[in-house]
Amino acid sequence: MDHNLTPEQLDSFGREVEELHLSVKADLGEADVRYIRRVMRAQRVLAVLGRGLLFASFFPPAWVAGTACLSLAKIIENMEIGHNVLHGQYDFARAKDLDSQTYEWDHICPSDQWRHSHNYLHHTYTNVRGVDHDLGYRILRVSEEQPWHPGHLLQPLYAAWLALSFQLGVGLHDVDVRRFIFQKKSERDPDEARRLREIGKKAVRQALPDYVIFPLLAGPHAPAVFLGNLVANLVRNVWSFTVIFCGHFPDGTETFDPSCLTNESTAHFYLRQLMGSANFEGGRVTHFLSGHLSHQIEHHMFPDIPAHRYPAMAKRLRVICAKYGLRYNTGSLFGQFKSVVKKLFRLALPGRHRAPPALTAA
Amino acid sequence: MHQVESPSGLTSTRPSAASRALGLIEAVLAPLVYPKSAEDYLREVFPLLSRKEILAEVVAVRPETADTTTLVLRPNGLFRGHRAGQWIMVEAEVAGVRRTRCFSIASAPALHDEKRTIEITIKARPGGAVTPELVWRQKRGAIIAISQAQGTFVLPETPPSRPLFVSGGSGITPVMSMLRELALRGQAHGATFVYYARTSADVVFAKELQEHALFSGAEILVWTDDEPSAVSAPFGRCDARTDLVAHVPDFAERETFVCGPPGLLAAMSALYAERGASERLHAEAFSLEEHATIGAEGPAPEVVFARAAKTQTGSRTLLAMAEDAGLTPRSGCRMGICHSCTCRKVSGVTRDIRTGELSTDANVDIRICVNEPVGNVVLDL
Repeated sequence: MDHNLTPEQLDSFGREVEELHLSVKADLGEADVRYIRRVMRAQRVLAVLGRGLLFASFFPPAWVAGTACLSLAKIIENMEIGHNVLHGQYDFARAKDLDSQTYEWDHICPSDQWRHSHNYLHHTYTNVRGVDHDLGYRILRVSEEQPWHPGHLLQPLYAAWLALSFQLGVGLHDVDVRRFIFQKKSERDPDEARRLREIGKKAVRQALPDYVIFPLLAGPHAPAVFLGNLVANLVRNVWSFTVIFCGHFPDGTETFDPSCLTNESTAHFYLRQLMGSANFEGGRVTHFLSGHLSHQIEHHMFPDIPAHRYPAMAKRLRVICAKYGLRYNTGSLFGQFKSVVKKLFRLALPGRHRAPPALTAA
Repeated sequence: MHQVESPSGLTSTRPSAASRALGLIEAVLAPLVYPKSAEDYLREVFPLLSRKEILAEVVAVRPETADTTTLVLRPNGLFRGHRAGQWIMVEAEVAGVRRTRCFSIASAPALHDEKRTIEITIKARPGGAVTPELVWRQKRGAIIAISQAQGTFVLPETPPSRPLFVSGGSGITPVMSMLRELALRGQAHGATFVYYARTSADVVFAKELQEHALFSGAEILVWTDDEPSAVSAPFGRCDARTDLVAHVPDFAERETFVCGPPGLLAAMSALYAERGASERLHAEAFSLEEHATIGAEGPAPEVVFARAAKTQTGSRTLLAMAEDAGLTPRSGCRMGICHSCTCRKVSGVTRDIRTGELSTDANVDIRICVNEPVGNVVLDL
């Protein structure tokens, strides 16, 4: 995808997008706070219900219902609450429980590391090759412009493994694990070692309730509870993987050369986010369970706006994109995911290097 | 005369048995709910539950005048009570945004000892962000966060004989707490309570003041600017100086507690200074007047908000300038009390607008709500 905007058109596109951003920002208030508090309450109810039902798993339907509730609780905490609160979407409320600087989410990646690797690196340098580690998570080749090496032949398997262990994969992607393992102790970056230790500590504390304490409390039903918790964690991983992979890797999403960052204007930043992201369509429930990352384009343009606002913003953004003849990458969840899977297979093989996109700083 | 020990001592810092039990429950549940706290879950059922925050339920909302409302609060067990005259910080949610303001407690400490409730009486400030919300739209049953009672403007443990209370406008609240406390202890006899209000419709606690005049033995003098009514004596326009000299001739010999607008405080302190009775005058300002710009010569100072990469020129408070620059720094009382707005000054000279004290050091924490720039200043905001 290329854009044919003159510098003036690019500027006026940027202004219209900024106007949309500011108009919603000025409207934030009570309704947003009420919304997220309701979601938080529902999430807690689901979590308690799920744990409770799993204790009754001698009755098979209770096991199924409990696992489902727990899966939902874990998904909602990560997607609609944790990820969005950590973005500072609710900082305007100045409430302690919604504060991006103190919120600790139920994810293996400690919140302060996440704010750096995700909020700062990924959101600032989205799809910039060599800078944004979300571009393939250091193991996958997701763009023709990334150089191929023989290890990529196995990438469909890596991807399947990443889907099942997505928390760990995302948690570790700010650490060059391979390099770290083969490094001599004296050569290791002490800060990287500290970050790894923190992740390890959090991983243990997070695994304890799911795999030790709750099963032990269940006595004879320990295996059923253990299994329910394992399934719930896997469901969360596979779902997050699906949502996030559909956000930046479907066909039509662009990757960029680091040179485009020099003197990048606001308008160009918006354009890069638009070209590097993709949405998927679905009903209200799908949007909600994706933490509204079904609107990855809006999320990347307006990461500080409460995510439940994205569907309404999308309508206005699509009008702006149509006006400037810019592609707005969206499709069904199935269609977008299919194109991601195809791409993972295609790029496992050495491919012709396509010319880098003609997107240069205006 | 018997002496009454206030049971609502502020010195107790020992956690109560309930708080210790709660701590134990939370410690047991902590590994199960990691990385959340057990409190997050328990609070869905017990909304006042907290080991760190003083949460209070609004148990009643009582309109007093057209623009003044009393909120009756029942704080959780963390609240250690108060002394008559003290204030609390109240964190209210206005249009989804938490904002902190300070309010004097108007009720008597004895009320908290007996019923575990405190009352704050709030006047809606026209154009204010918080007070109109609390006065006209506060719902019963809401949960709000408050602070421990603070302030040194208090009724002494052993009350002086024949105290004099002088207040104006919404400054009535802390001295009302004192009068109520004396009345409940049966010690109001001989006290004089002077109150200035704009019109008789603005007289807060009108009915209760009449009852005090009739039954508690306190002398109540209410002055208003308009026609005298049942609650105001026919004294016409108010002028603290002539009023006191004429109607409370022995004022200089009495322990005097005054709270009100800056004009009233200034008139009172001048009068007491003249009579050499300054040490008997205890005063509390309830609002920080819009501070006049200092007669700065040369160019207006420039303030750099380093993290936001924004600049403002002018000589208002740093907080006002930050807000003008589009920043939303944390802030609370906006009068230098609560330290919510404390922020790091990287460089430059600032002046405390209350004391005139200059801060010249680099890399120190200052309260931006009561400091203005004297030269160019860089803030870590």
